[in-house]
Amino acid sequence: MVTSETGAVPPMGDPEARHLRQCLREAGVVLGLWLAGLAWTLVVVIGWGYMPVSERPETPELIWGMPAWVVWGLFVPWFLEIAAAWWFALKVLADDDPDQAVGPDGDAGAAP
Amino acid sequence: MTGLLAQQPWYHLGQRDYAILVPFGLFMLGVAVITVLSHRYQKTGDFRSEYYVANRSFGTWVLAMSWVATMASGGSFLGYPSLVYSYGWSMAFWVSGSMVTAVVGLGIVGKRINRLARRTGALTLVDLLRDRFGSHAVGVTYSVVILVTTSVYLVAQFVAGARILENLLETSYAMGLLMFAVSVVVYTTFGGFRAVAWTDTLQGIVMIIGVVLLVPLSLSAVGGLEQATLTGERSQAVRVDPEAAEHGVETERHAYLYPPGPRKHTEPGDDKMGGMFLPFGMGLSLFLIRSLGALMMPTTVPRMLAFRDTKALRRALIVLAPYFLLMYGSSLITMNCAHSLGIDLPPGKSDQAMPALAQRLVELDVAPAMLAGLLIAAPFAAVMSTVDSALLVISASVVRDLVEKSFGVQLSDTGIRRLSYSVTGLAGVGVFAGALMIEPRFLQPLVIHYVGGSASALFWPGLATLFWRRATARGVTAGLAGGGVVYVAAIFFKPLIDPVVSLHPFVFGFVGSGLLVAVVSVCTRGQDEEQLAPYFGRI
Repeated sequence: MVTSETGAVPPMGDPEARHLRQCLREAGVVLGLWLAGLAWTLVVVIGWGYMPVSERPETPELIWGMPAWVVWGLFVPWFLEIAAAWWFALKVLADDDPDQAVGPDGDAGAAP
Repeated sequence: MTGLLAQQPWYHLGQRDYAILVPFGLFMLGVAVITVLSHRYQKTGDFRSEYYVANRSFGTWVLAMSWVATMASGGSFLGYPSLVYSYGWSMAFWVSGSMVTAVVGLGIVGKRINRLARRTGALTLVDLLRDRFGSHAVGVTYSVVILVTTSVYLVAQFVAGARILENLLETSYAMGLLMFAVSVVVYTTFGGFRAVAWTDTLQGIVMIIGVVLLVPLSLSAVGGLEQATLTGERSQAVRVDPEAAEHGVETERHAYLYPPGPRKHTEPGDDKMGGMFLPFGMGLSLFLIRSLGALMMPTTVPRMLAFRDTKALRRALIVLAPYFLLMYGSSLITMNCAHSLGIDLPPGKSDQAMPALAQRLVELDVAPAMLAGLLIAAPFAAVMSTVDSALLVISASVVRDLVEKSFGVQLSDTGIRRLSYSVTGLAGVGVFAGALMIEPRFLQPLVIHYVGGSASALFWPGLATLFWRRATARGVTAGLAGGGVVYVAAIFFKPLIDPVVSLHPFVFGFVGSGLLVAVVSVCTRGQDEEQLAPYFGRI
């Protein structure tokens, strides 16, 4: 929540404040997706990728010709993040309200 | 690996050579046509708005493709494949941050920048920063950071473009560089942002088609990915870091399948031997750079000022979400097939691995010759699309941000037009000279330095300007300058820092810049409500 220096919350009715709140909400969702991707990747890469040389299997574990850590640590979360990005675009990323629309020359309220 | 025209005079072209050169030539012709069409737009309306943000008219495809084509540079299509060619599957962690690049790059700041730019009439991000704080110091500092980082980046991209032509036409590096420089500088100078965006769209499509087509062709030629991986693993004795091999560094078991990759001879001129190629701290740093670096990258931010509406942004994100997976996933697979296909590049030439693979597939009759032209055009398109955007960024920084706004020079529309053309052209000439003198061994580290350096300095000041009421001009200026200084210092003191914690200099610059923005802003007087109202609403 954005506050002023005095700690006051911008009023609900102000188009700029509404726009800012919506943008912050969307940024928060993206931050969550970023953290999820980072956590997943690190867990797999630390546990499965950065193994001491002595612990590496004699016969490398391959899935579809790729090392298993690459499949689980890179491709699987990548597919999930793509699905999450589509969800974000379709369900979270909101259009500005009609009274927030701004034309190309800066005339607030005009149709974009 | 022989070049296309090897052992033949230039005028003696075989049928296969024509088959490769014709699609490549058609691609270049398409770029020329787009430039001529774009130039016509500059004759109507406001020159500044047209030249720098194409009258804020981008729809879904132009926004998506121009954004990603600018993001994906010679580093993506030559530099990263070169690393995979050299170090195998261990390089997978290098690109893991790209899984969230699109959603982070477009989802956090896209809508906010676009709206504020429309409200305030800003044509560049520097306009936005300067106007919000009413501070020339912010504008000048931001412009200087952009000019320095973008110039370094451009040198790397010019080298990449030159190497492709050097390989394709079997000509000298200098001639390849000259041909590349002339073609890109001309269309960027006269076409402006619209030409850059339209050609980027063409290039973004060519890039992804080219690189994805390589996957089934390579797998077919090598007999499956498992076969390629195991063959490469067995033949790792010839796949060691070339420089390390010359210095007797031994290769560990499965070094090409697991991070941190094969041990390397660290740096030219450095006596240390056998350092790890991708220690965990460096891999983590790269995740951060690749995921966060896109947010305020000088070459991609102009797209945020130029799209039409949120609908275009939303659809662009849908289009872009799988793009990086297709691009880097394809590079990982195809470059791990390269050695099994007999591609054996000498030390220092591994940046040619991708075009060499395309030519090899034609030689093996796996790919039709006509397809090779497209495959070779893909990395070339990636380089061109990045260079044109970077040239315009430099032009906008000098003409709009420094001359017009910071120094207050009043120029007529014709004067601005001439100055913009001149600065864009001169920037190209300057970078050409730089690329002639400096020929880096690997492109990718230079690209990472650009992304890391610019993100170190620009990330927090940009975010604070857009989202934080309490940010001040001094705080943002301190973050800009401090982030850059800390980044350079971290590079300088890397030999001392590495034994303690092996992180990329970006991490230090990023943290330092964020702290400076926060602390200095809180310690200095905040802005008046009147100044804040256009950006944050009234209290």
